[in-house]
Amino acid sequence: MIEFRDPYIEASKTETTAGLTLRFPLVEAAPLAALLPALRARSREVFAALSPAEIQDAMRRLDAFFADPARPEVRSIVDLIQRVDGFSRHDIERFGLGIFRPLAAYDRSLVGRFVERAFQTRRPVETAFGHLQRFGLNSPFTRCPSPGLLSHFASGNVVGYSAVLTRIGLPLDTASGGGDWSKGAAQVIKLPSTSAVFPMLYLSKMAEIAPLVRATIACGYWKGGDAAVEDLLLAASSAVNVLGSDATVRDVEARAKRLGRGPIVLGHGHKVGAAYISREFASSPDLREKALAGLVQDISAFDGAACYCVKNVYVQGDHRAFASKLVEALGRHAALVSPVNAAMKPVGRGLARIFAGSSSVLIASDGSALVRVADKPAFWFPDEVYRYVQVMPAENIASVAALLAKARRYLQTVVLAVPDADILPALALFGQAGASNVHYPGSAPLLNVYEEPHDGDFDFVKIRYPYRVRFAATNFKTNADWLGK
Amino acid sequence: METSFQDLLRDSVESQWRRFAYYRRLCARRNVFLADLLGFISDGACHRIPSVASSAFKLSKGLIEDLNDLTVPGVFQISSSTSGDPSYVYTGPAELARITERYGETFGFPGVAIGLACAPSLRILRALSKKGAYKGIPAVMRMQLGLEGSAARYDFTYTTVDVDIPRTLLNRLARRPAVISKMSAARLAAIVHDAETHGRRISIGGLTLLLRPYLDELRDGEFALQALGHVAFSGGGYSGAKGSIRGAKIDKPAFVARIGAVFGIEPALWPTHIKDIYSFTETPAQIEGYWSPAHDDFLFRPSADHRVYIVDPETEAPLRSGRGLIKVVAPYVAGRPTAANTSVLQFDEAEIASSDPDGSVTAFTHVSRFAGAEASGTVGCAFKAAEISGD
Repeated sequence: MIEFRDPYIEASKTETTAGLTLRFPLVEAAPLAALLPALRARSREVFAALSPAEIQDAMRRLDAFFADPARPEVRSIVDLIQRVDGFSRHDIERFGLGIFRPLAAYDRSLVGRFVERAFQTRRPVETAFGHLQRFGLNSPFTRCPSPGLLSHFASGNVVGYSAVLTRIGLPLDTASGGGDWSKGAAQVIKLPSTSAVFPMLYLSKMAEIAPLVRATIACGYWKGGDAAVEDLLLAASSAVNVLGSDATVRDVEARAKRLGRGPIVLGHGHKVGAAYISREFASSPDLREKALAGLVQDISAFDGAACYCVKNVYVQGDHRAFASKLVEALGRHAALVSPVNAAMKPVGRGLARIFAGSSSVLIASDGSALVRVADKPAFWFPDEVYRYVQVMPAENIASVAALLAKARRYLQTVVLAVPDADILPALALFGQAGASNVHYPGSAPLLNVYEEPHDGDFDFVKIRYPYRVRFAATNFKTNADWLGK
Repeated sequence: METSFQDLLRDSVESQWRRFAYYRRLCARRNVFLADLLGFISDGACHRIPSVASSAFKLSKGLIEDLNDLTVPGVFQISSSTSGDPSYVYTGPAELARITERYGETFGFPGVAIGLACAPSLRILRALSKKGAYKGIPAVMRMQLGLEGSAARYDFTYTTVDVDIPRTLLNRLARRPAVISKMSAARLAAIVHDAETHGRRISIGGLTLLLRPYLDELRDGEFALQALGHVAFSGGGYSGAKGSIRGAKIDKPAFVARIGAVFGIEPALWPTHIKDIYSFTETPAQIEGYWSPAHDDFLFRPSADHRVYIVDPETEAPLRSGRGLIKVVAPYVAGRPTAANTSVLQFDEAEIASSDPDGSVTAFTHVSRFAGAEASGTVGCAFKAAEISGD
């Protein structure tokens, strides 16, 4: 039996997975009413006792722990997640724990600085790893609430990012013209029904490295949509961070609205990733191989179930030839690097059966991935969540951005393989279209929360200063940042 | 294998091979060609005929024009779309008439003149069918064929969900949606009592999810129909979802017991008076199953116009016992398929109760959705729950 505990929650739920019995904290409505004042009171004490710099320093030590895959303890964590969730070791290590490496190494004095600067200019702001650009005008009448309680209604389709959510409520060692970013919030985190092991492991480690910070967080499971629990939280929270289906986000927004002056809702709904491959990268064998090597990672990460996974691939040039190479590369990736999660294999088998007679869908060996080929560019909304993409011809960046703009609510990550001179214009065009993260191939899952928005927003700012603009960022400055890796 | 079935199957498979490049490619991937297909039929080895996955007919898969021959007269049969993603199966007039007539047979019981269908009225189903038209080609919901077929068997057919015409007309003036009315439990009780009083046989059925609320309102022993009462369901819904109708999951033994208690049909009559129909839009086959106390579930028995195999989910090899996916081989009435669905693999699981030496099952039970086959990325839904349930 592996038992995960939370200092504020007594009840638990037990489940058996992969031969392991796991016990998780269970949030129930009745005790929650008493839990929330206690959590808030304890959080106020902690934030009064610790400076933002001390908190950030503790979090850096925590990040550093998870950033080191050589540690035996981290290896055990990878083993456990692999066994319970079924994700490939490659994805857990490279994309799950991989987000911690740049955070651990990040210059703390820069945290929040680029966002402040981006508020002041509409031009791209150079960040540590790329560029950040603001879109839209801000309102001068934005109120600046004090973040009392932040609730997270999280989903569990990936490893890693769920842990970073805790950063949103923690104070920053920086002050801005808009809102006081140095104020911390007590946080309640919904444990997702799947992939729940990592958030609990992360919080367990936090309890060792930063016990006082851990005391500002309560984390447990409740069934998504449980009105008794969620209405209590919505009424008590100053902000709610929702990661889930569009229906879930809409439901929470509607319930928050009914409360009158309800919480700020940070809605993160269904997203569909895209990639743009320029003629230079599509036609040069060497560059094409490098783009393909990255792209297969972005498509296959967590079996295509994450918001950042590429689904639409726009190719300037011979898109059919590119599609053929892509399906071969996806098959190799599944066979040699990142096998399909056993739980997802029936999905691949089912899709392979469905498209067995299709002339426009290419199927990788043993159904590990599928590539649809369309001869007209379109925004394709995938019918199934899997390692499954559509490849289409593209005229240029502007035409693809115009196409994507029609589906802006689904946009988040755009993977880009273009000449250096086109990187910043692409940020402007895709950012204007509604995308928020423009990444180099192979890095779609690697979001740096300190200098990149999540779905256009910096949530850690927005709970303290509910601005109206949007942001987009690149995670590279030139192609040398990734081609040499 | 009887000659008529074999001949029809040969014609259907050969026609399907010639009409559908999709099917030729699917077979070629398995190194199967027309001569092989005809050989399988001659040898009585129908399980070796490669199947098209039923999900391939879903709108989201983008294969509608690959799987349907739109050059001949016909309409699309469409499913009720529990997943929000309906299937489109192009069907010619002769096949459509046969499916409708077949529903009449499967829903009918000898000597029964009154049908009480817990279902939307034909008016609603026709309106929903109209909305399902694809690229100008008319569509008909499979559920509509079921109701039309059964209504043709009875002297009187009552449906429990209909449009409230006066209120709908008023709403139209304000550009509001149609108003749906649900038959009251008292009205339903009056229909059943009337049949009981006059000693007339009555068939109660339709959608399980629409019957259950009435069972909750009526008391045990409300009626004493005994042999006058017949029950026939179709369309599943036991998981708690059918189309966009939602309800709690149905525990079949408890549900049937409750039907018996409310309508006064003693357990000895359940194996002859309570049945379910297993079918899906992607096949013309309809498989009847009566309640089987030994299995605590319905026991489905394929008929002479189709073959059913329970196959291994990975290899598609037919199983002799245990659980597997359902594969249905059903030739067209005229031997000329308008869709590539002569042999279909459905992502439903069932347990074999008995089988023939050729591997085809003669009885199966415990049907459930095959878990994990889909990770839907679709949004939206085919029709609004409120329109049907009246909630």
